Amino acid sequence: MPTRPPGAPADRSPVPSDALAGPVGAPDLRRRWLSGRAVAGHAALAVWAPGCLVAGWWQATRALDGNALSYLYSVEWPVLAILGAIAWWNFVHDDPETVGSKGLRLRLRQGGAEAAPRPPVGAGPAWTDEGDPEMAAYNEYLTRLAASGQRKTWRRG
Amino acid sequence: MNGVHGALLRYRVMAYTVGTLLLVLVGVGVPLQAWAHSDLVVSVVGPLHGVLYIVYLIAAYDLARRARFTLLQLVAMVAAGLLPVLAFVIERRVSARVDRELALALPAPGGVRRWLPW
Repeated sequence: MPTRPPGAPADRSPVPSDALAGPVGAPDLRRRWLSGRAVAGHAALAVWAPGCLVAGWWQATRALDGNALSYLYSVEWPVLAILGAIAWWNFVHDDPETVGSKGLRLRLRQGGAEAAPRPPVGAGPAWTDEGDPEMAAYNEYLTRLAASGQRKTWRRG
Repeated sequence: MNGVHGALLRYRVMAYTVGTLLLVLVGVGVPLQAWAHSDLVVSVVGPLHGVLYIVYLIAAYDLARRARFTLLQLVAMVAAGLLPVLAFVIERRVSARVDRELALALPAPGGVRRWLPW
Protein backbone atom coordinates (compact mmCIF):
# COMPACT_ATOMS: atom_id res chain seq x y z
CA MET A 1 0.00 0.00 0.00
CA PRO A 2 1.52 3.35 -0.99
CA THR A 3 2.24 5.66 1.88
CA ARG A 4 0.60 9.03 1.91
CA PRO A 5 1.79 12.02 3.92
CA PRO A 6 -0.67 12.83 6.69
CA GLY A 7 -3.22 15.40 5.72
CA ALA A 8 -2.93 14.73 1.96
CA PRO A 9 -6.25 14.43 0.18
CA ALA A 10 -7.43 10.93 -0.66
CA ASP A 11 -7.13 9.76 -4.23
CA ARG A 12 -10.30 10.14 -6.16
CA SER A 13 -10.28 8.09 -9.32
CA PRO A 14 -11.58 7.84 -11.88
CA VAL A 15 -11.91 11.58 -12.27
CA PRO A 16 -15.24 12.34 -13.93
CA SER A 17 -14.23 13.73 -17.30
CA ASP A 18 -16.31 16.43 -18.88
CA ALA A 19 -16.02 16.16 -22.65
CA LEU A 20 -16.95 19.81 -23.04
CA ALA A 21 -14.25 21.38 -20.90
CA GLY A 22 -10.58 21.18 -20.18
CA PRO A 23 -7.59 19.74 -22.02
CA VAL A 24 -7.98 16.26 -23.42
CA GLY A 25 -5.60 13.32 -23.47
CA ALA A 26 -4.79 10.93 -26.30
CA PRO A 27 -7.72 8.52 -25.65
CA ASP A 28 -10.11 11.45 -25.61
CA LEU A 29 -8.63 12.73 -28.86
CA ARG A 30 -9.01 9.31 -30.49
CA ARG A 31 -12.61 9.04 -29.33
CA ARG A 32 -13.33 12.56 -30.53
CA TRP A 33 -11.89 12.17 -34.03
CA LEU A 34 -12.23 8.44 -34.74
CA SER A 35 -15.54 7.43 -33.19
CA GLY A 36 -18.22 6.20 -35.58
CA ARG A 37 -20.11 9.44 -35.11
CA ALA A 38 -17.03 11.54 -35.89
CA VAL A 39 -16.13 9.46 -38.97
CA ALA A 40 -19.68 9.94 -40.25
CA GLY A 41 -19.11 13.67 -39.82
CA HIS A 42 -15.82 13.50 -41.75
CA ALA A 43 -17.54 11.58 -44.56
CA ALA A 44 -20.38 14.12 -44.70
CA LEU A 45 -17.90 16.98 -45.00
CA ALA A 46 -15.87 15.08 -47.61
CA VAL A 47 -19.00 14.95 -49.77
CA TRP A 48 -20.44 18.34 -48.88
CA ALA A 49 -17.49 20.71 -49.27
CA PRO A 50 -16.21 19.49 -52.68
CA GLY A 51 -19.83 19.28 -53.88
CA CYS A 52 -20.41 22.92 -52.94
CA LEU A 53 -17.16 24.00 -54.56
CA VAL A 54 -18.00 22.16 -57.79
CA ALA A 55 -21.47 23.75 -57.80
CA GLY A 56 -19.89 27.16 -57.19
CA TRP A 57 -17.47 26.63 -60.06
CA TRP A 58 -20.33 25.57 -62.35
CA GLN A 59 -22.31 28.70 -61.41
CA ALA A 60 -19.23 30.84 -62.04
CA THR A 61 -18.96 29.47 -65.59
CA ARG A 62 -22.66 30.16 -66.11
CA ALA A 63 -22.21 33.71 -64.79
CA LEU A 64 -19.39 34.31 -67.28
CA ASP A 65 -21.74 33.06 -70.01
CA GLY A 66 -24.08 35.94 -69.17
CA ASN A 67 -26.47 34.54 -66.55
CA ALA A 68 -26.75 37.43 -64.05
CA LEU A 69 -28.33 35.37 -61.25
CA SER A 70 -25.40 32.96 -61.35
CA TYR A 71 -23.08 35.65 -59.99
CA LEU A 72 -25.06 35.39 -56.75
CA TYR A 73 -25.02 31.59 -56.71
CA SER A 74 -21.30 31.44 -57.45
CA VAL A 75 -20.78 33.28 -54.14
CA GLU A 76 -23.42 31.35 -52.18
CA TRP A 77 -22.06 27.87 -52.87
CA PRO A 78 -18.61 28.57 -51.40
CA VAL A 79 -20.33 30.19 -48.40
CA LEU A 80 -22.29 26.96 -47.91
CA ALA A 81 -19.04 25.00 -48.10
CA ILE A 82 -17.53 27.18 -45.35
CA LEU A 83 -20.67 26.82 -43.20
CA GLY A 84 -20.39 23.06 -43.64
CA ALA A 85 -16.78 23.14 -42.44
CA ILE A 86 -17.74 25.16 -39.34
CA ALA A 87 -20.64 22.79 -38.63
CA TRP A 88 -18.30 19.81 -39.05
CA TRP A 89 -15.79 21.24 -36.58
CA ASN A 90 -18.49 21.96 -34.02
CA PHE A 91 -20.07 18.54 -34.59
CA VAL A 92 -16.80 16.79 -33.81
CA HIS A 93 -16.22 18.87 -30.67
CA ASP A 94 -19.74 18.83 -29.23
CA ASP A 95 -20.75 16.24 -26.68
CA PRO A 96 -23.59 14.21 -28.22
CA GLU A 97 -24.87 13.39 -24.75
CA THR A 98 -26.04 16.96 -24.18
CA VAL A 99 -28.24 17.12 -27.29
CA GLY A 100 -32.00 16.75 -27.63
CA SER A 101 -34.48 15.29 -25.16
CA LYS A 102 -31.87 12.90 -23.77
CA GLY A 103 -29.56 15.84 -23.12
CA LEU A 104 -32.39 17.76 -21.51
CA ARG A 105 -32.96 14.93 -19.05
CA LEU A 106 -29.23 14.85 -18.35
CA ARG A 107 -29.20 18.57 -17.69
CA LEU A 108 -32.24 18.23 -15.46
CA ARG A 109 -30.41 15.63 -13.38
CA GLN A 110 -27.14 17.57 -13.25
CA GLY A 111 -28.40 21.11 -12.97
CA GLY A 112 -31.77 20.60 -11.33
CA ALA A 113 -30.35 21.36 -7.90
CA GLU A 114 -28.38 24.37 -9.11
CA ALA A 115 -31.32 25.87 -10.96
CA ALA A 116 -33.06 28.61 -9.06
CA PRO A 117 -35.45 26.94 -6.63
CA ARG A 118 -39.02 28.09 -6.81
CA PRO A 119 -40.43 29.75 -3.68
CA PRO A 120 -42.42 27.16 -1.76
CA VAL A 121 -46.19 27.36 -1.93
CA GLY A 122 -47.53 29.37 0.99
CA ALA A 123 -44.41 31.50 1.39
CA GLY A 124 -44.93 35.20 1.82
CA PRO A 125 -47.34 37.12 4.00
CA ALA A 126 -50.47 35.19 4.85
CA TRP A 127 -53.64 36.28 3.11
CA THR A 128 -56.52 37.54 5.26
CA ASP A 129 -60.10 38.50 4.51
CA GLU A 130 -59.81 41.48 6.83
CA GLY A 131 -61.58 44.54 5.49
CA ASP A 132 -63.81 42.51 3.17
CA PRO A 133 -67.05 41.64 5.00
CA GLU A 134 -68.53 39.72 2.09
CA MET A 135 -65.46 37.51 1.76
CA ALA A 136 -65.31 37.07 5.53
CA ALA A 137 -68.94 35.94 5.59
CA TYR A 138 -68.32 33.52 2.74
CA ASN A 139 -65.26 32.05 4.48
CA GLU A 140 -67.26 31.70 7.68
CA TYR A 141 -69.97 29.87 5.69
CA LEU A 142 -67.33 27.50 4.23
CA THR A 143 -65.91 26.90 7.70
CA ARG A 144 -69.35 25.99 9.03
CA LEU A 145 -69.97 23.64 6.11
CA ALA A 146 -66.61 21.94 6.61
CA ALA A 147 -67.29 21.52 10.32
CA SER A 148 -70.72 19.98 9.66
CA GLY A 149 -69.39 17.64 6.95
CA GLN A 150 -71.73 19.03 4.31
CA ARG A 151 -70.68 19.84 0.74
CA LYS A 152 -70.81 23.26 -0.79
CA THR A 153 -73.89 23.58 -2.99
CA TRP A 154 -75.63 26.25 -5.01
CA ARG A 155 -78.94 25.36 -3.41
CA ARG A 156 -79.96 27.53 -0.52
CA GLY A 157 -80.97 25.70 2.55
CA MET B 1 -29.03 30.66 -20.85
CA ASN B 2 -26.06 31.05 -23.23
CA GLY B 3 -27.71 33.73 -25.33
CA VAL B 4 -30.54 31.44 -26.36
CA HIS B 5 -32.98 34.34 -26.01
CA GLY B 6 -31.14 36.40 -28.62
CA ALA B 7 -30.63 33.42 -30.92
CA LEU B 8 -34.35 32.59 -30.74
CA LEU B 9 -35.27 36.17 -31.62
CA ARG B 10 -32.88 36.23 -34.58
CA TYR B 11 -34.20 32.88 -35.79
CA ARG B 12 -37.83 34.01 -35.50
CA VAL B 13 -37.21 37.24 -37.42
CA MET B 14 -35.48 35.31 -40.21
CA ALA B 15 -38.15 32.57 -40.25
CA TYR B 16 -40.93 35.10 -40.75
CA THR B 17 -38.91 37.03 -43.34
CA VAL B 18 -37.92 34.00 -45.40
CA GLY B 19 -41.36 32.41 -45.00
CA THR B 20 -43.12 35.54 -46.25
CA LEU B 21 -40.71 35.98 -49.17
CA LEU B 22 -41.21 32.37 -50.24
CA LEU B 23 -44.99 32.77 -50.08
CA VAL B 24 -44.77 35.88 -52.28
CA LEU B 25 -42.43 34.10 -54.67
CA VAL B 26 -44.58 30.99 -55.04
CA GLY B 27 -48.01 32.60 -54.59
CA VAL B 28 -47.53 35.74 -56.70
CA GLY B 29 -44.29 35.56 -58.65
CA VAL B 30 -44.61 32.13 -60.21
CA PRO B 31 -48.26 32.58 -61.37
CA LEU B 32 -47.35 35.97 -62.86
CA GLN B 33 -44.42 34.43 -64.66
CA ALA B 34 -46.44 31.48 -65.93
CA TRP B 35 -49.63 33.21 -67.05
CA ALA B 36 -48.88 36.91 -67.41
CA HIS B 37 -45.31 36.42 -68.71
CA SER B 38 -44.09 38.99 -66.21
CA ASP B 39 -40.73 38.21 -64.63
CA LEU B 40 -40.66 41.26 -62.39
CA VAL B 41 -41.66 39.68 -59.06
CA VAL B 42 -39.61 36.54 -59.63
CA SER B 43 -36.50 38.46 -60.64
CA VAL B 44 -36.65 40.64 -57.51
CA VAL B 45 -37.95 38.27 -54.82
CA GLY B 46 -36.05 35.22 -56.08
CA PRO B 47 -32.51 36.49 -55.45
CA LEU B 48 -33.67 38.24 -52.26
CA HIS B 49 -34.95 34.94 -50.89
CA GLY B 50 -31.75 33.28 -52.07
CA VAL B 51 -29.57 35.67 -50.07
CA LEU B 52 -31.75 35.82 -46.96
CA TYR B 53 -32.06 32.05 -46.90
CA ILE B 54 -28.32 31.88 -46.16
CA VAL B 55 -28.83 34.32 -43.27
CA TYR B 56 -31.78 32.18 -42.12
CA LEU B 57 -29.55 29.09 -42.24
CA ILE B 58 -26.94 30.76 -40.05
CA ALA B 59 -29.58 31.93 -37.54
CA ALA B 60 -31.20 28.48 -37.45
CA TYR B 61 -27.86 26.73 -36.98
CA ASP B 62 -26.86 29.16 -34.23
CA LEU B 63 -30.10 28.54 -32.35
CA ALA B 64 -29.91 24.78 -32.88
CA ARG B 65 -26.46 24.72 -31.30
CA ARG B 66 -27.21 27.00 -28.39
CA ALA B 67 -30.46 25.22 -27.56
CA ARG B 68 -28.82 21.81 -28.23
CA PHE B 69 -31.21 20.55 -30.88
CA THR B 70 -30.74 17.18 -32.50
CA LEU B 71 -29.64 16.85 -36.13
CA LEU B 72 -33.20 15.95 -37.17
CA GLN B 73 -34.60 19.13 -35.62
CA LEU B 74 -31.97 21.16 -37.47
CA VAL B 75 -32.88 19.42 -40.74
CA ALA B 76 -36.53 20.40 -40.18
CA MET B 77 -35.49 24.02 -39.68
CA VAL B 78 -33.35 23.96 -42.83
CA ALA B 79 -36.17 22.45 -44.90
CA ALA B 80 -38.63 25.00 -43.51
CA GLY B 81 -36.92 27.78 -45.44
CA LEU B 82 -37.43 25.97 -48.75
CA LEU B 83 -41.07 24.78 -48.58
CA PRO B 84 -43.91 27.32 -48.55
CA VAL B 85 -45.81 27.74 -45.24
CA LEU B 86 -43.59 25.22 -43.46
CA ALA B 87 -41.41 28.05 -42.08
CA PHE B 88 -44.32 29.33 -39.97
CA VAL B 89 -45.27 25.87 -38.69
CA ILE B 90 -41.73 24.94 -37.72
CA GLU B 91 -41.13 28.38 -36.18
CA ARG B 92 -44.06 27.86 -33.81
CA ARG B 93 -42.87 24.43 -32.77
CA VAL B 94 -39.27 25.55 -32.31
CA SER B 95 -40.26 28.62 -30.28
CA ALA B 96 -42.59 26.59 -28.06
CA ARG B 97 -39.85 24.06 -27.40
CA VAL B 98 -37.19 26.65 -26.60
CA ASP B 99 -39.59 28.60 -24.37
CA ARG B 100 -40.44 25.41 -22.48
CA GLU B 101 -36.79 24.60 -21.90
CA LEU B 102 -35.92 28.17 -20.97
CA ALA B 103 -38.67 28.06 -18.36
CA LEU B 104 -36.75 25.26 -16.67
CA ALA B 105 -33.80 27.70 -16.29
CA LEU B 106 -31.23 25.00 -16.89
CA PRO B 107 -27.52 25.74 -16.79
CA ALA B 108 -25.58 24.07 -19.57
CA PRO B 109 -23.16 21.35 -18.46
CA GLY B 110 -19.54 22.34 -18.87
CA GLY B 111 -20.36 25.89 -19.84
CA VAL B 112 -20.71 27.27 -23.34
CA ARG B 113 -18.24 26.40 -26.02
CA ARG B 114 -17.33 29.13 -28.44
CA TRP B 115 -19.31 29.04 -31.63
CA LEU B 116 -16.50 29.41 -34.13
CA PRO B 117 -13.43 27.18 -34.29
CA TRP B 118 -10.99 30.07 -33.88
